[in-house]
Amino acid sequence: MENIEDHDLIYRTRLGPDEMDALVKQHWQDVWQYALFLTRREHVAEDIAQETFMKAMGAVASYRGDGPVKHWLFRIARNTAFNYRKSAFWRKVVLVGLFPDGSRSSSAESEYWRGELSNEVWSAVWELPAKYREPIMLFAYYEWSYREMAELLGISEGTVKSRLHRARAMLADRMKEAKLDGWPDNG
Amino acid sequence: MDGRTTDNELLHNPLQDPLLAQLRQRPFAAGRMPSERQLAFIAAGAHEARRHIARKRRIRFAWTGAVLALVMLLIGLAYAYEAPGGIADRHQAHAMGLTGTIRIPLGRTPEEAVEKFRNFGYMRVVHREAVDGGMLLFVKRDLKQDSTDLQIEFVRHTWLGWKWGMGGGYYIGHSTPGSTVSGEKTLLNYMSLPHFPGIRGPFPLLFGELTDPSVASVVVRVGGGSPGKLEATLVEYEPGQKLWFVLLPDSSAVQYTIQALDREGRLAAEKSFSDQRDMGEVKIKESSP
Repeated sequence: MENIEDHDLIYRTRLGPDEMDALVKQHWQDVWQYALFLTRREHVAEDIAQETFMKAMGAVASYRGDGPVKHWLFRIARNTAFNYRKSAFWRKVVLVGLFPDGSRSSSAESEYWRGELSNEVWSAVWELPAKYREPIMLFAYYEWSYREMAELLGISEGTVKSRLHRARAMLADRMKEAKLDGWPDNG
Repeated sequence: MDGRTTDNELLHNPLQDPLLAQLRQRPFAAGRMPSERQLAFIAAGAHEARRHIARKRRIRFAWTGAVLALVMLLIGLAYAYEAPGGIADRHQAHAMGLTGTIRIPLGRTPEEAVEKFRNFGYMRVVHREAVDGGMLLFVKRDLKQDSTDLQIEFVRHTWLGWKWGMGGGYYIGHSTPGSTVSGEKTLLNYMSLPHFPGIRGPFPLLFGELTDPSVASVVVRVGGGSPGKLEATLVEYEPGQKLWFVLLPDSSAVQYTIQALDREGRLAAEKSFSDQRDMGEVKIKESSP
């Protein structure tokens, strides 16, 4: 089935099975990737992506066309990830002591995915704290505007700019440390 | 050029920034697609989510409908109660001893409510006094020259507007201010309106006009459950023209004594009566010249 255009979704209240599959396949890579950068854990990213599409497909009417469908999906994914983090905290509190090496396996998984990234700059982004990782990805790869990011992250445009500035400076430092050639000296 | 400026410029022109230009490439070389199991799971979850939303919507509609129905019922009951010819009017007619019902019209103002109910033709409101539940209007109709008249009307404030509640008035001929008849001088006139069972309003009360400028205050002594004396409120509604009134406690009972006092607080004249619907004048004997 062909891709579904964003404007085709505005007046729809539900989708047929084929349309649903097409829409999921169309945006799965982006939603999964975004969730993976948020959480750095594959199985969590899979769960978040799956739950995001369940919620979205169950409430197609909530998409009002005030932005691209992808932005709508990212908003749902972010909320889902936030809720997951809250519940994961409780799981961690309950299970602490039962799985003493849990952090090590998580770190190994993160290391694996870092190795799967397409270039060294993405590897450097992977290592950034979440509050810098997310805006630099949205800005550089998905080309979101400051205003769109401010709305998604629930912060001011000024804070978005400041985080991007800080993220870029951190990336430059890390690339310098890796002694890569060809990067401008901004120092 | 310092580093901060350069960074800001590069952020605004990402393609000129080699770092950001690298980030235009896909983060992961390999693509990712949902499995058939995941697609089936999403379809089932979406179906369940739709059912959940529909169920929530039905519950919300049911609640909204119930609340709306209740509000409509309350509005209907309230209207049936306060509308002209409604339940309140039927109660009032019954309390007034009428066999049928009456139709008390609604007014946008207290004056309009009185005009519509009384149809006086001519009337002027000389004073308004806010009281619990409504307004007292003091009305003069100027019925005849060389006479005095005063009407008091209680108007209820309802959620539909103003509505006449109860009232009464008197007319006394040949009572020009300070007039002397048979060697007597009238200091004030009065009317007593009792409490009417089943009718709301600030009753019992006494009211009237001062007809002699020597009267500086009016005191009413009452009997009954809480005997005592109450000082009347005096209102100069026109230059040199004063009315007086006093709202009596529910428990007060006749006998009432109205006392007219001069500027020094000395008793100038008094009158006692036992009829709760009495009206008349308080007079003083004119001393011989």
